Amino acid sequence: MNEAQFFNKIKASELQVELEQAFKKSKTTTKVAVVMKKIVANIILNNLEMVRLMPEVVGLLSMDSFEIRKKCLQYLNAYAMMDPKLSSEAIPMLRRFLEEKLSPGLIIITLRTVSSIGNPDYVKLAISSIPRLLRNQDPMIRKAAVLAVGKVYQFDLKSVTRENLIDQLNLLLHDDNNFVVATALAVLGFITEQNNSLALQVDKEHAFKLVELLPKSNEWCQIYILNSLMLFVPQTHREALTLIEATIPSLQHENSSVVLNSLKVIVYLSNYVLDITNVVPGWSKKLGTSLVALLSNPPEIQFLVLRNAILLLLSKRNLVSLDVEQLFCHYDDPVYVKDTKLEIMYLLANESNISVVLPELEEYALDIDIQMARKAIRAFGNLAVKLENAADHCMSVMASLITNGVDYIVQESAIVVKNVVRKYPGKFDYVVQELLQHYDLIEESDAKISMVWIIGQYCSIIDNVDVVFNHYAKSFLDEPVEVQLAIVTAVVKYYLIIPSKGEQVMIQVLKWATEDSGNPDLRDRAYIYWRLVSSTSTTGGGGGQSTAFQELTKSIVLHNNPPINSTNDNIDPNILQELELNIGTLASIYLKPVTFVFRLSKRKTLTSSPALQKRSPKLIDPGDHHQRPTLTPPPVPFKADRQRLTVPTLESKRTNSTGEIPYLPRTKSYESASSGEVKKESLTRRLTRKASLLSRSNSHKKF
Amino acid sequence: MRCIPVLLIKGLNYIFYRTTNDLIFLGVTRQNIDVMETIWFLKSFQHTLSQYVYEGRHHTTEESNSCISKTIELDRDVIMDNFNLIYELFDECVDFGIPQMTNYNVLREFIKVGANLPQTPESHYSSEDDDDDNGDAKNGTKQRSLTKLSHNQSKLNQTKMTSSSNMAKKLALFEISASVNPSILRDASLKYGWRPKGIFYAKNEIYVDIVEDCEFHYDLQTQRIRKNDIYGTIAVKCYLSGMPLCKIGFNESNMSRVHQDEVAAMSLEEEPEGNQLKSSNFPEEEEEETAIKRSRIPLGNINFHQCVQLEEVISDNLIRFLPPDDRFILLTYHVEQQKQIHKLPIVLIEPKYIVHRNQKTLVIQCTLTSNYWKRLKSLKMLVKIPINPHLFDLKFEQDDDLKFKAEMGDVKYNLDSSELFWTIHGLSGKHSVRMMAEFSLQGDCKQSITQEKLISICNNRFDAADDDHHNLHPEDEIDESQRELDEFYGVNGAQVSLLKEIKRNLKRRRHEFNNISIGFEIPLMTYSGLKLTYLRVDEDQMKYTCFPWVKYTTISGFKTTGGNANIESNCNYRFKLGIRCFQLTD
Repeated sequence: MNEAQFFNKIKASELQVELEQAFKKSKTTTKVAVVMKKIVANIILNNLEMVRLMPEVVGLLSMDSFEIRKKCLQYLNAYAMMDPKLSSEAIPMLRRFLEEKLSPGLIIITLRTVSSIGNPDYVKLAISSIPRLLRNQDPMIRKAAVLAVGKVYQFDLKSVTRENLIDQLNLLLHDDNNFVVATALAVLGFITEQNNSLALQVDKEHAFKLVELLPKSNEWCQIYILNSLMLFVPQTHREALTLIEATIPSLQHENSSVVLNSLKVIVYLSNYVLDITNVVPGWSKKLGTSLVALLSNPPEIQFLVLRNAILLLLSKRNLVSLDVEQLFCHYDDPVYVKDTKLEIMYLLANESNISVVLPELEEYALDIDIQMARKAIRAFGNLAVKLENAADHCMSVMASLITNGVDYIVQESAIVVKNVVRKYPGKFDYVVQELLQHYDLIEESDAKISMVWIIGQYCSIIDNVDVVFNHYAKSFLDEPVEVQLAIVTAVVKYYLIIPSKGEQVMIQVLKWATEDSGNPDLRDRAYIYWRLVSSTSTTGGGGGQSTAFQELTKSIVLHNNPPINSTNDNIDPNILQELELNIGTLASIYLKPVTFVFRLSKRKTLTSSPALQKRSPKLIDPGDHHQRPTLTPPPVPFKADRQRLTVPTLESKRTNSTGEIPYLPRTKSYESASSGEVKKESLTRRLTRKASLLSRSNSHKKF
Repeated sequence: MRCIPVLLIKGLNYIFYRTTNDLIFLGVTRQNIDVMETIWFLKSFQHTLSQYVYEGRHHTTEESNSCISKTIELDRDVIMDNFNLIYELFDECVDFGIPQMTNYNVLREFIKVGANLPQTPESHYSSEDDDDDNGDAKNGTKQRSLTKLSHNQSKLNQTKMTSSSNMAKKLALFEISASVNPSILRDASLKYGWRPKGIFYAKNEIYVDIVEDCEFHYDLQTQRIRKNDIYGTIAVKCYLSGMPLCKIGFNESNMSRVHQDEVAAMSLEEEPEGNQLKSSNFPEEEEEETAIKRSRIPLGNINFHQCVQLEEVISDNLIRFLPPDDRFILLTYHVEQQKQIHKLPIVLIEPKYIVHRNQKTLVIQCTLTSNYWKRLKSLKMLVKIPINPHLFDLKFEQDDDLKFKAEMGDVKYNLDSSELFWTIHGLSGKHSVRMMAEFSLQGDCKQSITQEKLISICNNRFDAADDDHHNLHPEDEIDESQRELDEFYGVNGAQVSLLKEIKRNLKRRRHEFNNISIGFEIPLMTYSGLKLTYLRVDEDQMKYTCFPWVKYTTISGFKTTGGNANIESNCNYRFKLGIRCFQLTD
């Protein structure tokens, strides 16, 4: 039958008439069923008029048809809260359903409905019947009752505690049916998450019993059981190891969620094992392959896996060994997967695999997809900054890419080259030369800022510097403020280095900036520079004094920027630890502290026990403490803007002040800055590579 | 464009799973929930639902030749028609946001509501209503499902005549009516959630299909393999009575991944220097076989179906499982040939584009070499050779503008994609076939085809002046519209020419013209060398004999034909053209 026809908005009165008709003639049940279908379809269409049918629907509950009753319950579920008074009239009928000994199916759906409606009468009914149903023989009813406790808990916390429902749930943790146990675990987990005064704990005996249940349970139950293992605090290394060994088979499960959760459990338990990589050889490989195995799933799942892989690489480098070649992009990956893969490739790149990574990146740079090509070029620059040994190679590739003079490649390269020449001053002049061949291709403001900075810095080695400067100065007034600021600074540098050529342009630009610009920042900066370069003439003092002043000006303006170093991997260890305990959850996707996104949720920490291992000490540059994101959330609620939610792309702006976690080095904040300024990005920390080296040597050991 | 599957907007987290035909399954939450669990649930739900829908169709047409991964495309109409079923499924699958069970084989035992499907194409159309959001996409899917339907109906007659096997004859031991208390059944089946009790078949059969899908990427310029991966699927279809315990073993020494490092180390040692494919003397077949035995297959990333007893896989290297009824995917694996890089690719192509600039001709010479066993035959092989329209302006005026000669198979030129299709049937192994095609060119070849241009094209750079569509100036656009008008009215000497139109469109698309792709299906072979060496089915109570069937297939770019596993290839067999494939002569 074509049921799509029910999806028309219908007036309640029409349905009332139809119902009356149905009762007059034969085949009442089928006709009523059709009416109920129409009602349900209208619920889906969000037709609020259906509320008016409440008395009729409540009356229909008395019909002896499972189908119709089911639909009526669906109706109650949708509208009972809108008309609490009328809907309460259904209570006697529902109470009968719950007591009926005949059909467990009816009990289950009734309980499900009653417990999910916040009307006090319904809640009362649910609470009064739950204790009895929790002890029912039928495991499915027990399960439904367990879930009902969770639902009622949301509406009426006090009654639930008064009736000791939670204690009864605790008893069900030792039920002989896996399904009930797993559900009870899930519900208790939910309740304790909501309530700060309650905490679920699993003792040793119970934990081992739960692990035994694992292979016998269905996939979802496995997830809840695995999750509950997170609540067990091992007291000895032995305990933790045994549990890990019991969990390992789950890593090959078909269900990605089971895999990820067992990974979480293993990572958690590994905190309680002394020198884990030596105790279980080949172990990091195993975790790595199980992660990679998940990449054969649809892109949505791949994305989640990759985000968690980033997390693991940042926090437990020695536990996961990933082969960078497995993470190369497929040409048909969606953009967000490619992005994340690029990030991981960046994280994984080191001296030993750079020879594989670079050709691959080069391939991406020639990709037909412009977005991808740009990202690959970004990655080149970042790698050049990160790995000193690879810088030469990166830059030679970059130079050859620039040679072709494709506009987007040149623009992206300009941004990247600027970082690299800051890191290695004087080393890659040939790339700069190459870049300047195509100065006229640059149009985007980001690229322009970089380009102008480079020109200002390198004007002594550029042959046709006056032409280039004129090109940029020409359009000065039409540029956005950031570019204007950059031009002002560059032009002053130019003047100071080559006064003969630069004077005219500089005066012109400063004039524009001071006279025609409405922006106070720009005006002020222009004035300052103007004073700096011109005070000799205004004071008109002796020659010696003026040269001294010139020198001073030069030393201020032409001061070398502090070199940048690889800004990477700098998430607070505490946050990492917290995220580790939340593998697979939303927080791990956003890579943000849990309380940041979910203000009400509890923070998870590693409970201390004699077996707890200290995290490997990290190299922390002194003096960067104020940079570190703090764990306490700011009083303002987390504001969600698209920019931050989207997968952090390589070009998304970095905002340090909010405590947001930076993903990749983004060295943007210094451009167009005058000398002497404290550079923010130098305050970041390097992550020690020791751990990863350690894991690599271990992974080759055999049993 | 696809968007990130997790969004946070105003404190609400939206988690969604998107199917291939743009149906979105969405979950919304305010809490820090397990995203993976949610997405997997959405995925399983979609899968279960499409299985229901598929089974419904299956029943209506009584089509017995079923296949495993054939998911009927769910679309808006199917969903609206089945809201009843969907509500029932919601009730069983999830409660209080906690997924309960999503296994179709179990669910179908207590949700007896059949899928509600349109019976005839006419009624299907009549269900269209005035909802006009995303009309285009919907129309597409509608059309498709329509064709599928009519296809099924035409098959109806055939299958009635040929259904002599007992494949689909399943006798339930006791009829379960909807009125029987379902929870008794549930309780009994809970221990093995995927298999209900009381299944009985007159003839017990198990079909095992091993399908390997090859992803291959070869750079003709550097003559190196860039990627050579195998995505293997073992699909099982079983018609077994009772609660059978199946054991399957492979010629692979350890399914668990503990010893993988050794394998990797071993094969790395054997890696020859430089170009690993140039060595023209292929190893003898026997030798190859022993080599495979010796160096094991580095199966990686094995994912087992939930019925497999995982601990025993690790301890005994045997896959032991209590199978769900009917079709399921036992395991999937992934072999990365980078670890055995010495392995020869299945087929190898050597193209040569020769341009005679004075005669204005383009000659394409191709040699295809197959590297599998001599006695194997590929079912069908399709080689797509691109002809870059940015570079070559082909002329199609006279009959002899396109000439070709092939030792085997047919050659066609596909105007739409500017590709040469070379279809070969039944290519046997260790064989090499040649093909030659000649095109006439128009325009000034000396100017338009230069070495520099070749290089830039090979590097995927569509830039500078030759690329007329990227710097379309306003005047050009006016010209363009002027031309269209002229063509429409047939004035100013303009003619409507489909050929020109296609050519223009081709050029306008930023399309890859640098990859030769090959699609093939080779039965009786697994590229990785994986073989099923042991299969046993035990049923303690009934003690029946069982008929096992095993089938091997290697595919790329195609769908498998026949067998119980209709697995569509997601992989590509690609050869990237390099500058050395081109030759310019005067």
